[in-house]
Formats: sequence, structure tokens, C-alpha cells
Amino acid sequence: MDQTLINAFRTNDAPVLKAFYHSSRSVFLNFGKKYGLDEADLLDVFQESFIGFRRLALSGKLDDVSSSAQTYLFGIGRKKMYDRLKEKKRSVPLEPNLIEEDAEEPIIFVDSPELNPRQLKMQKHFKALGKKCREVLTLFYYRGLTIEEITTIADYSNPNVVKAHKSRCLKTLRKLMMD
Amino acid sequence: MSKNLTEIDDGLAMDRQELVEKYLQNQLSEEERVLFDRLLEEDEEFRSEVQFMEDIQAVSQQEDERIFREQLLIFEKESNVRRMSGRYVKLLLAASIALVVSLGYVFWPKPQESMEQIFVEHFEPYRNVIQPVVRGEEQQKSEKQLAFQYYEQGKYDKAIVLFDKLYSTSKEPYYLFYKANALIQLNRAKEAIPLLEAHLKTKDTLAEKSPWYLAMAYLKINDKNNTKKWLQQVVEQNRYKAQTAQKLLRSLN
Repeated sequence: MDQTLINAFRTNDAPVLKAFYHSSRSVFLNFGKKYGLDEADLLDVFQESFIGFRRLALSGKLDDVSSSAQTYLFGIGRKKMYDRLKEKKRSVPLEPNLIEEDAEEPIIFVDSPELNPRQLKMQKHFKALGKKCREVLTLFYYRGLTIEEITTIADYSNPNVVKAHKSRCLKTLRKLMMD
Repeated sequence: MSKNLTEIDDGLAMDRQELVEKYLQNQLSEEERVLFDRLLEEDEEFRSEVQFMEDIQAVSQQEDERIFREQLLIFEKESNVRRMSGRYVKLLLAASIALVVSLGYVFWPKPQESMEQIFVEHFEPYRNVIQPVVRGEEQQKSEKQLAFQYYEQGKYDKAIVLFDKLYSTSKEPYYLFYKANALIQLNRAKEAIPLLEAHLKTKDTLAEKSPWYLAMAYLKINDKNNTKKWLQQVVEQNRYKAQTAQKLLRSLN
């Protein structure tokens, strides 16, 4: 898949993401209208799908996918729409478009992980860290950016400062978790 | 990596933290993978290090997605503006923005920080201290649990609906406070002000924090006088965020 887009999710390149969002949004809402969900629901489905797409992009699962970004995003969207219709206990129209999967490209959707009690405890401490700490840890551990990339994106003067800052933040978090 | 395993194992070539980090980023080489698996099997301390870092990954994912949801709300706001204006107007608008931006770039050597920028730097919805969010099936959660779960996930519009409902039945003042926070985040700061004023008059423990959020709400709607008025209150009564308020006051003057 388009590596520029995947990278835009990693580095949070707003103009690129915004363009992708807007161009897919209108097509998706139009497509979804005929299934009887109202606009608020459709928009919600679209946004959830967009976030799901991002999760996959960040985890590297889309790297080897051959279909286009929009096709894949709509694949997730169709799945989510189907679920939403079922949730509302409406009869789901037997529309092949909605349920048929592309045999070559199985569409995956990953939910945001539910945190276990240990992680909830960490979340509490994590939120108490400074904004800069949360940022550096997130960029490194979740977004998977390199130290060099973080230097540029988060406005650090040089990579060593990022490294030092990151290990200070880890140390603080470790200490908080032990108390 | 051309080094052999024992060299790596000496801890000289790479420390363990780095090994775990490479694992999390899917960047282990074949031989590092073997070492990783062996350590995972044999070494208790290593296992807990892996767990610690995996936890950070999960926790920071939540934080990252919360922020990203907010970004989507901004995209969405813009798409509403787009729909209202015709194509031509859009082009004109884009052209004039481009012009202003480029002019600004050339002619304004050091633009003063705008109220909006200051807002973005300082506002953060107050964290959930009411209802710990727990694991479990959606269906089994109470409305209160759901409301705060949505709040933590940045699904503010959904949270607001539930806060409203819960407040009307329980009259717990903290719902006013959290609804106001969510409203500010959704660019509806004007609606947040009366709620915060009402909350401030209650005996809720969180009321100590309302003046700061009143200042933030006024900052959001570009009302400089009222922003300053509430910041002053925060400073004078030494309330939540007094030091930050002091600094902010200086930059607003």
C-alpha cells in the first residue's frame, strides 16, 4: 500500500491525513446512505473505521497489502456498518457489497485493547507525567518512530536529548509503578 | 548484525532494553530473535521488562488515539465549512489564506502568540477521577461507567449525552464539570461557561478547579478580559494551576 500515507499516520502529517479523510468521507457517506443508517451513525462508523485503519497502518499490517488505501478503508467500513445494523436489530439487507469479502485481501479490524488492571494503574501514572514525557513515550513505543524522527517532529535540539529525556521518563514511570 | 550470539549475550553489544524495544518495533534480526526467545524463557527479570514495555505501548496507544479522535473532530468541523461554501468561494478562500500565510511569513518576524495557540498549549480536559474505567462487556456497564469511558476515549459527544442524563437523575455536581470540559474540547466553550459557573457554586471537591477551566473557556472564545479576570482569581485564591495562571497572565498582558 501507499507508503506515503502509512508514514503520514506515523508522523501525523495533518495535511496528508486530512486530504485522505475528506476524499474518503464523502464517498463513504454516499455509499452508506442506502443502508438506512442515519448520517450521525454513518459518520460514527466512518470515524471508527478510520481509526481502525490507522491502528493497522501503525502496526505495519498494511505494508504488504496490495489494495489501495481507500478500498481497504471501505472494507473496514462495510464490516463496521454491517455490525452496526445488526446491533440496531434491523434486518441487514442482503447486499453483496456489504458482506462479501475480497477473497485475496482479508479485511482485518483491530479494536483498541482493553487495559488490564496493571495497565490501568500505569495509565493513572502515565497521565500524571508531563506532556513532553507522554509525547516522547507515545511517539517511540506506540507510533514506532525512531529517535531521529522524534528529534524533528517533537522539536528537540538533538537525538541525545531525546534519548536522555526518554530514559528519564521511563525511570519516573518505573518508580511510580513500584510505589 | 554480524556479531555472534555470545557477544550479544555479554550485554556489550546491546543492552536488554534495546532488545525489547526492537522487538516491539518488529525489528529483531534472526539471531536477536533467538536471543530474545531464550531470555524470555529463562530470565524472569527480562520477562517483566518485556511486560513493562508492552504495557507502555498499550497505555500510550490509548492516549494517542484520544488525541487523534480530537484531530478527527477538527477535520469534521472543516468539512462542514466546506459543504456550506461553493467551490469558487473555497478556491478564493484558499488563495487568500495562502496569501496571508505567505505575507505573514515574510513580514511578521515574530508574531505574538494568538489566544488560540495559548489555548491549545494549555487546555487539557481534566482527567477522570470519578469512575475508574474497567474491562468488560459494553452491555454490562452502567451508564456512569460508559459516560466516563467515552470521556477517557475522547468520544466527547457521546459522553455529553450521558452526563446530561446522569445529572438530571442524580444531581451530582461533578457531571456539570465534566460536561463543561467535554464541551470546551468540542469547540462549544460558550455553552461550558454557565455550567462551570453553576459548578463553582456547589460544594463539590472539584469546584476548586472550575476557575481555571472558566479561564480556559473564555480563552477559547477569544474573550481576553474575562480570561484575565478568571486567571487573576486563580492566582489570588491560589487555586488549581495558580502558577501556570500567573505565567499566562504575563503573556496575555
